[in-house]
Amino acid sequence: VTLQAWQEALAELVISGGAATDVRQRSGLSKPEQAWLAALPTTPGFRLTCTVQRWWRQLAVAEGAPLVLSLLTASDQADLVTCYFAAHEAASLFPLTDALHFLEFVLDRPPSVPHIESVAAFELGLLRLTRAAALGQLPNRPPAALDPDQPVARHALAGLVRFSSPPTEVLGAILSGGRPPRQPSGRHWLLLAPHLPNYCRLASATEARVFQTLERRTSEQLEAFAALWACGALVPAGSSGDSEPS
Amino acid sequence: VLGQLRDLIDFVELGPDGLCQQVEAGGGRTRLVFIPDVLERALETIDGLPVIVHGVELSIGTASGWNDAYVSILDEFRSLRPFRWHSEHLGYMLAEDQNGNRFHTGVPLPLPFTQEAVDVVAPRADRLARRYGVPFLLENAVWYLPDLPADPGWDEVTFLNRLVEQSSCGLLLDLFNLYCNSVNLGFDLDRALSRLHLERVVEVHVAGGRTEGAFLLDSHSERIPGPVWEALEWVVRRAPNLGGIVYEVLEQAFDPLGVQAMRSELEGVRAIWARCRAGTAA
Repeated sequence: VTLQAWQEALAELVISGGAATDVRQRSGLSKPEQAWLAALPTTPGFRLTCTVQRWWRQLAVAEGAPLVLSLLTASDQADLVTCYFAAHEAASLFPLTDALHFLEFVLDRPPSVPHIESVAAFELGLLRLTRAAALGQLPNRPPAALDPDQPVARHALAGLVRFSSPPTEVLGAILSGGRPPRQPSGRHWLLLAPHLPNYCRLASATEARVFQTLERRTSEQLEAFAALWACGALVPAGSSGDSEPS
Repeated sequence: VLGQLRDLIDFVELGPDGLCQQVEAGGGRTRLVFIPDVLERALETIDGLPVIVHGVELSIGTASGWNDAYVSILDEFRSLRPFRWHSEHLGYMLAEDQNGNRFHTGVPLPLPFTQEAVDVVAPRADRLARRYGVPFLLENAVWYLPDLPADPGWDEVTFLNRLVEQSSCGLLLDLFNLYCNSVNLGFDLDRALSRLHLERVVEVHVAGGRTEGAFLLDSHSERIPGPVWEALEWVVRRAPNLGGIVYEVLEQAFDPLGVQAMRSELEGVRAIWARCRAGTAA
């Protein structure tokens, strides 16, 4: 029991950066262990241990979410990452896991920065698709021709991201180190789907509506429906990739 | 990089967990899954070379139990490519709270130098050796926390010696880790080495790292320091069951360090082996 209590207390202390001072009161700890834990947070070695833990997590976030971070000043980046670490413990040493959780966190509590929700949704969708592809979890072949009467669903990893400026201008500015447009200029859509080159392309307003509603009544909707089907954004209802039955 | 250094390499140490992604397994649990392309590329790259395995994710020292997800992928890897021995870091990365929920530390943490910790790790080391039918080694860790709890009279060397005395496991002696600890925690490296059960050392790691404040970091990013070279030669002469030496470099350090520097380090390691173990293949 002592070893388990000590491990739990030390782990919580490191994860909290020394803030979880109540851990030394845990049952199962001997008096010397309690004293050691009480003195630990002020030591340089403990602070370095926390720094190393944080450094690995920061690297994971920086490598997994470079577009979102590019929208922020260095100081805002640090604040956001600090808030994220405070809200989410490390799940593993696998960097992609932390990057995915960070982007979900940004979408849950988006900072007041133009385009950040759109860019986070895009980056999260792209990471999920590339991970699934790497794990061989995406179907290899484009889907067969669409049967008009077949019930369909959105693919679990497909997504539609709304931008308030043309996505090419927003993402282009970020990638070239420039400043994205600040004035909204209507609704623009970016589609994420398994069979698209690089998993994304611009989507028309009709495609966006069809993806959201799964309607296919007019000829224009049928055309959009076929395009969504062809890129794997829509799949047969009940298939392994579906997320919501139509 | 491996291709450019191929003429200096006799075997490869591979971390199976580094070829994996972590995925949700339902109920809040996760599992590890090989990334097919990455696994295939790794196996192609090391084709023709003997393989040994060095894991990160096992968390062999967690009191409430090791990480079954890692054992599963090690089983899978064993079916693809036999290995001559395998090893793990001596420490823990999973902990369990009072409600039985497991959580990750985000960084490897050390074990206290106690018989209780030996009693946790030693039988697990035996189980792993039996499971795969090849030697299992434990690697001495690096840490920066001062004055780890210890049984009376115990230090790191006592702890390592007790582990090998009370199990079948061998030692993966990371000389840079031990050197870091000697610098950071203030003990004599040579005296520590002279007390260690060197007959149980099967593998040695060497590396270099940067300094952060008053601490020497296990960052695998710099040239191998002089005291580690001296310790290597001393150990190679005295560890009769030493099977190989591994030079560790962090991927992010490949460019700043340069292939020529890595080549030079490998040549140095080979020269020591040749000097001290003439006629013995690694």
